[in-house]
Amino acid sequence: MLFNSLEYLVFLPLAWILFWSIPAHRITVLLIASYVFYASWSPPYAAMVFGLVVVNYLFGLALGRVRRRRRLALAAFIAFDLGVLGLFKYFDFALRSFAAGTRALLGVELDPPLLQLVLPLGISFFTFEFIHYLVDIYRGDVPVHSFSKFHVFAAFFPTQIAGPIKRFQQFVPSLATVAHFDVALAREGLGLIGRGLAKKVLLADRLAPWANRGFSAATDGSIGTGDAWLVTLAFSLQIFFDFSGYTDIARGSAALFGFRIPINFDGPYLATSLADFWHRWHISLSTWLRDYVYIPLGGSRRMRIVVMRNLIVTMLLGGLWHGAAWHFVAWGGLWGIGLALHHLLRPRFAPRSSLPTLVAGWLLTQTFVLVGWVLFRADSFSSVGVMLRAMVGFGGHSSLLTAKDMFFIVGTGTALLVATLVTRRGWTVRLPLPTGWARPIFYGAAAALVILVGSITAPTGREAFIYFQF
Amino acid sequence: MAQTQVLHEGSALPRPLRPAVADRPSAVASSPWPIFRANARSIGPAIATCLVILVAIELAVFRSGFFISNLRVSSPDFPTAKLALAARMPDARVLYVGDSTVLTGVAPQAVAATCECGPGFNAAFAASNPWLTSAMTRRLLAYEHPALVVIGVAPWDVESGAVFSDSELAHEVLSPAESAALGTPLDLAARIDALFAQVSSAYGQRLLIKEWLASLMPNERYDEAQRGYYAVPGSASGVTQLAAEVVRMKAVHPGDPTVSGPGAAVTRSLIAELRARGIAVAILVPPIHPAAYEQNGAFLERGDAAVRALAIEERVPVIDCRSAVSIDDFRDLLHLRESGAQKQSACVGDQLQMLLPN
Repeated sequence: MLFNSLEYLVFLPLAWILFWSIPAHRITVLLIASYVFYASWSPPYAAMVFGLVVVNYLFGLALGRVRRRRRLALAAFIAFDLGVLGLFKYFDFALRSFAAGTRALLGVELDPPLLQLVLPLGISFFTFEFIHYLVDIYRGDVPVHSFSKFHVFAAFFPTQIAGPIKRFQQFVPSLATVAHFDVALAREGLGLIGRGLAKKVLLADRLAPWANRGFSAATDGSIGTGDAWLVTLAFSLQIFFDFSGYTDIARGSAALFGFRIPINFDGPYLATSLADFWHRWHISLSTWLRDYVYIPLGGSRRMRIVVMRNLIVTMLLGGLWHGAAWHFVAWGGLWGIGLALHHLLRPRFAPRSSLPTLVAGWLLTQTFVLVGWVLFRADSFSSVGVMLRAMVGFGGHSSLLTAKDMFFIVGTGTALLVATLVTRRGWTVRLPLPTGWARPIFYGAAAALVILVGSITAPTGREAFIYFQF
Repeated sequence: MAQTQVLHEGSALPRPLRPAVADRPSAVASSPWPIFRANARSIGPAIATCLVILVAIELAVFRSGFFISNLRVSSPDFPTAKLALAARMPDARVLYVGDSTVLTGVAPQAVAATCECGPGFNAAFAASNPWLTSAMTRRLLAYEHPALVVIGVAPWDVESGAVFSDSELAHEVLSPAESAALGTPLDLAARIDALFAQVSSAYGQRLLIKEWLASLMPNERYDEAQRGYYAVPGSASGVTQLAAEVVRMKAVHPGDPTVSGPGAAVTRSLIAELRARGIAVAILVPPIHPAAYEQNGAFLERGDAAVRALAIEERVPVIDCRSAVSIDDFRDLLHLRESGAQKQSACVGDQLQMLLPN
């Protein structure tokens, strides 16, 4: 069930009405809704999610009780979760890579038996939530003893498929407040859902054909220099609007049920350094990687060379998390090297807050981000090569985009930057609402407008969210 | 809040501009229902206003025909837009149906310039196949009363392995009953969707509304004088691009073209149906880039032979203008540039003139 589908438009209000109508069983309603949501895609995999929830609940209790060999227990539990993830996501990839390696190095043709399993939706996200839960209990947090509360944390439908990756210390206590309906939070939730749908339908899906056409041309072996930059810019905007739109809808849906989910984006395309970008992009993932990979590796309190290694390893894993393909690993590696160099050079080029420095930092950072997106989006390394060659001026024969396309793509990017700056400054105009008899008429007209806009912008079924595949 | 205050004071904003943060304490209740009950006297008129507005728009804009008669689109390459355009051009005497090779290869205006066969309408659309072409033709006959239908039949249309598969494109063309007859009945979600679309035209016609919105952008409006013909912008005729397209063609169409294939059977039945209605039929074979013949010649030549055999068996004339275009007229492997479309259309006009002297 996609967030931008008619099914969700029916499902969400029904779940909301039931949730607030049965005060004694709100958590049960949430659980049922979450499984209906997941099972609408695949009932067997919904059963598997239940199994994983039970197992991790027991792991958590066990970790909370054992006094000896806790480290071994934690390693075993994490190995189980990573094993499930690996089986579905990386097993075939590893076999294919091994076969390709033996062919290239030894000239031996292998035909390994592949599992060809369908990747369970959201498995990368909930696996990371399980690992966070287990590691934090190992570090001294108290496990969640209530199975239903842990169950809701793990299976909560708004964040089940593509995050944000939650922290149980923030989420579970908020279950105590499900007895209260917060008008302001619900209103904020509706606003977030509207904003998310607009980002997805009006912007991401409009930008997608250009990005697809451009990267498909690169796969076919040729793209012009201007086209290469424009389609990469189009993709960078598409993935931002797509994923941040998804996150807005997830956070908005959660808010309707009284839950505050942390933000995932904070104006990433305003970042003026590589490290700054990861403080603003997919924040729940970057903080997870920081807490559960980077810091355990030693973090930044080590020799410079070790810190650089830690950064590279962390980002390589971050890249691999996005997908079982070498171009994702390369994307992570590029970011790792970039962040390592940033760490190395930062003391020499200490940030000065002068405008020229900020602008130069912004330009360099965003160029790096764009080059990174080429690795992220391209279908193969040969198409990455075609794209990057074109971007440095060795473009081939193609004229994919017209002046109108350029106007829309660059205009959208500029509008995004301006809107982000305006929002961060808090410059919004508050319109006076009508009073007395005109007030219900105003709200009725506003509701009609929302229904019309929602009907018109509803997807036609072709537009899935990009991050669902991870 | 404190941080917002600092920002607010520091930026010295004018009075009407305030931070977008709620500055009033939020109302909290055990559920939303008491709040709704407390505002029941306002909610009734609000719902009534909402319904009145929605019904008024449904009746005045959509059911009255105002929307369709004033609709402009930005691109006519998908079925819904084609049907909307057809409804506004009921005068076509020649209909051209088929896939994107016809869509980008036949300009009805240019045909009419060399043939006294009356106005034409290009109803072809991208990624069509014999099943969708057939269904589209049937739907078009609700608006149009042509004397002749020119069906584009390409080698891949008569491939032995061709099967009908359900898609969003199919939902635009086929009714639920037709989908079911083809072995792909609508699932529950699709049926709810169809029901919703019947009740609310804003939802049912959202594709067209989005097209109309896109057409409002500068220079985006489709020139209806082109009568359904569409020139794809850009070009992709580099050697590597052509080679990649051939590889794709081989992967997508691995079967053997045959006159007895399932696609050919659908075309036969369309021809029979059109004849039964007293409409003449011709088959158009599309020009394909020479690179395709170099790298996938066996498939294409067998396909050509199968299409010709089909035409002979059905006693349908074949319009073949492949010699009218040169290698420079191709935009990519399968589609013509505007110059190529003009040349092919002039040739189609000449051949139609010979076929239909009256």
